[in-house]
Amino acid sequence: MSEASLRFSSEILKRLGEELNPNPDQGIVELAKNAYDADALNCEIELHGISSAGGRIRIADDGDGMTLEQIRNGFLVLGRSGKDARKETRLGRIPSGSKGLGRLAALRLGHEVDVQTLPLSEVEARHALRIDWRRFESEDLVEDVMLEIDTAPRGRRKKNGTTIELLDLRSRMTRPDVKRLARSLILLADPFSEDPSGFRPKLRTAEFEDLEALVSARYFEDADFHLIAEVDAEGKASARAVDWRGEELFAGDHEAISTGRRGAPYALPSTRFDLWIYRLAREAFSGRTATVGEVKEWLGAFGGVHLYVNGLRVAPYGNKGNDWLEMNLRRAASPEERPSTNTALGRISVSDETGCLQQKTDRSGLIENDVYEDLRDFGKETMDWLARRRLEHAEKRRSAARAKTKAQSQVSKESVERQIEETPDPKRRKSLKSAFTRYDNSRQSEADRLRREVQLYRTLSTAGITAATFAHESASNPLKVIDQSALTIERRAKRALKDDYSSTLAAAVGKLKKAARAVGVLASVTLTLLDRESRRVGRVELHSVIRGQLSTLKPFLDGRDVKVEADLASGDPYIHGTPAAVESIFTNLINNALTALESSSADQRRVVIRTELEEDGLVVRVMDNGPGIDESQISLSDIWLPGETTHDTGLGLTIVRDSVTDLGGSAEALASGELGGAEFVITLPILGQ
Amino acid sequence: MALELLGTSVDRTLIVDDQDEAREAFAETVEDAGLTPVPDAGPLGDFDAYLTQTITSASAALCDQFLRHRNYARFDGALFVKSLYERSFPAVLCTHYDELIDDIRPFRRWIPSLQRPNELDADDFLAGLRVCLAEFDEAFAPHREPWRTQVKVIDVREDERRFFVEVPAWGPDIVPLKYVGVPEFITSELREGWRCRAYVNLGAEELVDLYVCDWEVP
Repeated sequence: MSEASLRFSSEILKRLGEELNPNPDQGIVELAKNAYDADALNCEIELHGISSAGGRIRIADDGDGMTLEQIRNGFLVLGRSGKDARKETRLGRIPSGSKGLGRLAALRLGHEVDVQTLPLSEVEARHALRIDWRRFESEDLVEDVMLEIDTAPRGRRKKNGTTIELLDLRSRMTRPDVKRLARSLILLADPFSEDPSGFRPKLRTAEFEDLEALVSARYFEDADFHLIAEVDAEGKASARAVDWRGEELFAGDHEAISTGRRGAPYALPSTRFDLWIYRLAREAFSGRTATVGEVKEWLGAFGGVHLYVNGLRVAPYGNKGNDWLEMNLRRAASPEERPSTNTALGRISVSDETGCLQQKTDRSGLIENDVYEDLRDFGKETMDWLARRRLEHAEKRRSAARAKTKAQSQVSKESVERQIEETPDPKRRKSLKSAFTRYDNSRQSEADRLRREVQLYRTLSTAGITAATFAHESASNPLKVIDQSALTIERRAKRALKDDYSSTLAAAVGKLKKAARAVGVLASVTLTLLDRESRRVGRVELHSVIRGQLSTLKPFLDGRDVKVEADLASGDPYIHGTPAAVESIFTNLINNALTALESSSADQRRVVIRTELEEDGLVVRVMDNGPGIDESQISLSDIWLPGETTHDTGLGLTIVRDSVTDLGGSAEALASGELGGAEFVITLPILGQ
Repeated sequence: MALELLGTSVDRTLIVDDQDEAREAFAETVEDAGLTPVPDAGPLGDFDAYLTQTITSASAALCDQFLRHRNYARFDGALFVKSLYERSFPAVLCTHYDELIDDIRPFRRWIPSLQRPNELDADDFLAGLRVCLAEFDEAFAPHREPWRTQVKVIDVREDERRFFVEVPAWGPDIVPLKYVGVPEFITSELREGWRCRAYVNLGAEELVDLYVCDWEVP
């Protein structure tokens, strides 16, 4: 039997260094973390001649330095997750627990590294180490290169600490690299805390000084809300929100916060979440020393929720573009009372004494284990809780405003009635009284109509939301089973029946597949109509919206044997508005025509949409060959009123009228138009064509 | 019932779907493809642990996109299939994807086979696995091969964490993208008219097949 051992090719250094941690800023931040682990209070980073290859980076700290033993068995050992990693340092810090791979990446930024260290425990000693990476390139194995550590008495420099110089840089650092490094260093040791003795790494560049000035601005007192949430040793959460004076607005316990997890505790070590939320409106800042612009700039640089584990920041959480708590997504889904990364700044601080939160080897964040998932849930659920409380508060405010308006209206009415009573001339008084009663009755009837209209809109919104939910469910669940089962029946039946398949089952399976496709199309139509994109204001090309609507509704139209002809004027007339408003007009007019055609005896059911460019704008005619509007049943002016038509919701034409009015246009109905049925004439002012 | 696909032996096929009936329906397709279906009734637990478990206990997977409707999984199918691909494990994502493509696109580079349930027959499933296995050997179908090309930003919606780009070498269509999977050094620079380089499968015939990955700072 012979023995052998695993050995590492020199190329492993490249694999584990620059390839695993490709960004220079990440590596340098790892060296700053080493300084933190060595109890340094200061760590200065200087960049020299970095705009081209061959430059130099110097990292100097005032920490405890390294003994010969620590250099040999710590600094030069790669990939070890030290057993003492969680042991508190002299200053009570929990070491960041680096595996040394980020350090390797940083050290390999240059062709050479020079390390000078003056250890606290050896008051007269100074150790120096130089690594020339080119030597490794000419050797096959890592262990073939011996490194020399030179120990000598301290010279003039007596202060403890370590200085590392990365010499003859392999590549240049760009301005974005430097900017990113400055931001990472500023944020590394919680610059938002009030601990003046904390660790403060510094980068000697203009970019850093600008950011440092910005971070020190500390606009916390300008926040409208400060959310403070904690998880205790039992995993139970609590939260409170205070206003800018520190006065409590809302408070919640674990049950109120953790609604999604039915009260189960969070599997987290001691954790605290601070979030400062700002209302960035000009009027909100009147009378304050800070301006909206200043706070916006500050939030622009540092906004989002940063994660600190044992006092040091873990990237990329809270970086620009990293919205790990989905603040922006949730705000986009429900904008009221929700912060975004542009309107809030926060930090989650975890005291992780047991090391349950582990960073990935490539430093791209934490390993996504159950503890991490709980941490994220805690952050999200706390913000959900605050949003619920704020919404509840806003609703109370709205109710109070509604009650106040009603009361004010009653007071005004009584005041007018009193004034009328005081009119000396009895004849004049009677006539005024009668006129006012008529006015009041019509106002009341207008208010009733608006209430009904609002109720109808709410009912339809609910129907829309339910339809959207169903559309998702139907697309993802039962339809999938139907589709797959139909294919299985077809496949197996063909195999079992061979030639008999086409005469026995083929038609039935074909119908099944066709029906499933139709259901799928109907589900997707609902989702298309609810597309958020169509509610954004911008340039809307009317003809393309009309064509799009006809394409979306085609399955319905085909299913009802209705032929739709689009006779559109030449050019692309456009307006400034939302596609949703234009879609509302045409979807409802087409729906209206489809309903009318149910009573048609025509052989070929037809709908024509014709557009003509006129001086006033675009005139759109939507006409059908149905029975037309029966004026003995409803007047042409009443068809636009909510609930007045004899079919469906009675709201379609009201929505058409409202949408047309919103776009500055006009709508008119003809009882019997060019095709014999109803004809609607919509005029929309256009911006161009 | 092991099959030899492009030199790789494939048999036990994990079926990941949060709906019992759907798993059963997919199992029949997998069975007819000549493989052994292994439906997983969940819950799937920790993502990384589940990936490891999948790789050690099966040789292929068939997965739905929506896995969160019940207490089944805390991740989506696209992320799972992508992570399997990165471990050279063949998997097919099967879902009605038309409304979901913006959520799937960030992972599309690593999802060679995206199929609708009404189009996934036993042969299609095997074909999907073959496409994966071929890509593991760097053999890309023309519509899947990535090419380094210029990408132009058309619009940025930071609050929605989305942006829109044009890939001139591919065509005039606007490609909606989410921030998901796009490196920070790109998302922090995004603005209308900004251009950079990335890898795009320029042979894609339809927008649903298009992916953009490996972004580079200009």
